[in-house]
Amino acid sequence: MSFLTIEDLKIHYQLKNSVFKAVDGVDLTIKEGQIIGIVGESGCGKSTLVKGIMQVMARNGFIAAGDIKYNGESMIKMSESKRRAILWKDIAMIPQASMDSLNPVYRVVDAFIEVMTLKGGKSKKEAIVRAGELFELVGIDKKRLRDYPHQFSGGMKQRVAIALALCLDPKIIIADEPVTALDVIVQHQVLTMLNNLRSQFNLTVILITHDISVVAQTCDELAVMYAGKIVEKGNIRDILKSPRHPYSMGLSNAFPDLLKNDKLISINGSVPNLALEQKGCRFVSRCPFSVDICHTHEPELTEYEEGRYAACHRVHDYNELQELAKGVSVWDKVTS
Amino acid sequence: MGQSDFLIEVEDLKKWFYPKQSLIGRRKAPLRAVDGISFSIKKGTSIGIAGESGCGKTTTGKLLLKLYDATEGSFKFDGVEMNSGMTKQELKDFRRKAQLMFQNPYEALNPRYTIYQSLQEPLIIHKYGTKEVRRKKIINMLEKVRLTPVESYLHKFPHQLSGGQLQRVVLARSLVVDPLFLVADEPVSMLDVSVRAGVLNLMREVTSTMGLTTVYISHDLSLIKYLCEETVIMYLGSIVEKGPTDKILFSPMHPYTMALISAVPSSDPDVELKELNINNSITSADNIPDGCKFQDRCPYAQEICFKQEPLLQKTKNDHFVACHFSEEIGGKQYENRLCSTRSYG
Amino acid sequence: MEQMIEEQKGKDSELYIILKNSWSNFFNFFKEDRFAMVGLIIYLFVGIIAIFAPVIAPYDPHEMLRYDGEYRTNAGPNSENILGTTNMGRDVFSQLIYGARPAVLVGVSAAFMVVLIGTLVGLVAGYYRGKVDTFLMRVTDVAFGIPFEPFVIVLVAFLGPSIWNIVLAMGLLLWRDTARVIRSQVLVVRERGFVESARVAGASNFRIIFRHITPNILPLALLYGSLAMGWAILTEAAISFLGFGDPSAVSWGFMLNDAFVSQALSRGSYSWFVPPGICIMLVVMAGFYIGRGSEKILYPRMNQY
Repeated sequence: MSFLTIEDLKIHYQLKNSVFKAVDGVDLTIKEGQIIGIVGESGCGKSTLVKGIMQVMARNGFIAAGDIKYNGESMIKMSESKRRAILWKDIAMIPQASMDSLNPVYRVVDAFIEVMTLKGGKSKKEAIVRAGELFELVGIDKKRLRDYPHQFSGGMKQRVAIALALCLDPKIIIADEPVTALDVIVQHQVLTMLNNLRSQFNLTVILITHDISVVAQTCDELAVMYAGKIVEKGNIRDILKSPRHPYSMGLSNAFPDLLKNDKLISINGSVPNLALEQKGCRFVSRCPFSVDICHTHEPELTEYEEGRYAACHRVHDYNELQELAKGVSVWDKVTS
Repeated sequence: MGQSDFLIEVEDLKKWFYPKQSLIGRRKAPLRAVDGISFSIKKGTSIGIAGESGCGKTTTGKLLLKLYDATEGSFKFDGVEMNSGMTKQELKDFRRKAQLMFQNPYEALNPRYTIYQSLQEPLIIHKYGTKEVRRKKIINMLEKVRLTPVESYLHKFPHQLSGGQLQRVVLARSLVVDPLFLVADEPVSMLDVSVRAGVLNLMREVTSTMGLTTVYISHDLSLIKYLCEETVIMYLGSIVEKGPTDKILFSPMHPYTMALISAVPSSDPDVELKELNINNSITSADNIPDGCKFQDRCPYAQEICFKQEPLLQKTKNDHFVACHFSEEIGGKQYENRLCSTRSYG
Repeated sequence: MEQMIEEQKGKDSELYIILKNSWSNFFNFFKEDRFAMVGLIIYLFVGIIAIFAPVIAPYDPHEMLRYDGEYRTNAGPNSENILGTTNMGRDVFSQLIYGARPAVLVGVSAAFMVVLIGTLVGLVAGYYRGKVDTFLMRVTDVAFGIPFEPFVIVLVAFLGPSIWNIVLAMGLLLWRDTARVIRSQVLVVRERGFVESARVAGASNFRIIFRHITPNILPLALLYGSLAMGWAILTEAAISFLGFGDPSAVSWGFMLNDAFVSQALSRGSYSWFVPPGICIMLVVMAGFYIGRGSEKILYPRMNQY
């Protein structure tokens, strides 16, 4: 059952003299109980997408088109109060800088009480009991509820943020770069925890990251974003083992891996300026495989196999391109 | 040039930070950021220092560059002892030979200097050649880090360049004075994934063509594997394991190293995410217990670990480990993570 | 390529670049903030009037005007005297124009001293920290403890009433705010990567302070200079109004004092005392408008929306 769907969503930012199209037409269907990863480099619009779902864009940002449907109901058209009731209760978010998201002058438990009494309609006592349960769930001693945020280490704060997101039994958790800036061991623990929570509570998780290795071992589905659009989506294993879009091929080349000895290859060039009108494929300036049509026509995201989508004119040449993409010289053709 | 094969020789180096004592209350213990480390680096090779944040790896890097004075211990650079009794000229000389590459390229360059000015500065400081010679040197250096065409970069300001380009400038700046030694502290962690590889490859290439001795500091073992011949694993200011990178990564002997390695996420979706075999609690560097520093996180800790600090000892497969039970743990417990594959449900 | 190198030659002087960048930043900031722009325009306007005072003013401000052999005293606005005359028969409009001169003189020289002393103290204290910092900041605390206007009055009474003594008195005290703000800014800048990077490159303290830190705090120092300008003009007016001013210089404060003493207020000679009041208000306001804009530099996040 799909219960969160994003339909042709466009989120734009009004700049002084132009419109910055941070998210420019994204379709995404999220099924219950899935962990879906959204990867892409900075500036590809992944954080904006999350902000759009949570409706917390910066003041000059607005939803230009499209819709976000939760259980079939449009979240954009629904009343403010109803939306507020859904957010956090049904859809919770672990913010990017969750280290700083706790107010330093309050005890940690106060944050839980605030959320649960204001939004969950629980009494203060119930809230404290629930907070204790959640702390145990994320592996922190209950006693530490009465501590202040600065008494927690970075990894602990991240867990507190997760516990806080869980406190109203949400159905969906959106985690924006939940492990960036954490040490590997802590990162590992946080990922394991997300994995366990999913299997325990049938939680749906949207995991936003720039790091392929973070999603590789946790996610079921993957969407690769580039310059405000999804360029490839589908089952994670399929995408990582056999990418169809040159950008996805490039990304998997660019990561060092303990288990591989391949030479790393970078994708030269940079993301196009989204405040300008885009012509042709957005990746064309960095793509070593571009042909004439790529410069003139923007490829549509099409389903060319059951559950596998890619937006590339040369999607059917993938066998050949995957081979070529392993060569360093191919990518060097595009000058930085 | 000194006689020694080693460019860097460090013995029992310590750096303790003394907190401000308050007028009343208990005396605060010093923070033992680096607590007696020894290693040496052969000329022209690269070594990686890995560990969690707070393990003292950055402090070690700063000690090697004399940005901190050591509390105790000996640090020899090219066979010459680098103690606090150096003259100003000797220090300046050392500053030319030993360079640092910064983590954050957006910060490392003066925002009000053009790229040309930034690169020229170290040359001016070290009175390198005439203006003409300097200019040629700068252009040559920018070509080496592949910022071509050079003329389009010379007069730009840092904010006009992308992160990857900036990090190339930062690299060029540290290499423009022909140093012998380079410390790179998390050289790509601030960069976007798609350009990291480019900078890493460049560093690998340039340091080897210039014959540099390099220290890479990173929490990312896959990066160290990519760049370094030798690896040092640090935990709370001490070295727990050191040796050739391959040996460390594929047959680790210390439980901490094992945990670090199995925590590194892989980009292979078939590898399973395993539970780590260590405890969560983290001892802080200002309150270090007697005995082994890793005792309260170690699943194998026994009585002796709480009493006696293990020394760094050579093991059978050519590397050094500081653990009382390394032989038993090392052979038996470590499973190659390749074997466990993920099940899809 | 060669051509670019040639171009570079002439511009190689680092001082030139530092100044160029600081100034361009300084003016960019004015371009972006409308209030600051208004402030700047007022300053420039007053400056131009001060320079061309002899051309603009119809009479010598000290001249007692005689018409048909009679002194024209306490006249209202008329065709010869736009703002009328004083009780001594002097032209108010000409006095008003000439009044811009001491205002600019006091404003600019006080601002200069404030920027110079404040920046130096702030740089040295913030960069070296430790004992030097403690000492300089305690001196600053003392400067903060001295009440400003009484101090100026006492010093002027002691050294004699001259415009330069007023400027000196201001220079001796007004640097205190600048020093503190610059120091805190230096504390931030000295921790930034490029400063450490310069240190690794082997740069001396002198070089780091003046080549790396100064350019980064200069815009802030210049803003404090603009604020000080408003303050200084206000103080000069107050001192002159209280009668401790330079009797030979016609300033706006002096005009107010003159009007007050000769009871222009009770006679209702508004054209005499209102214009200098407005002028003082305008220049002081200009200073604060610029200061208001400076918040954007100090707290860049305000700038986001």
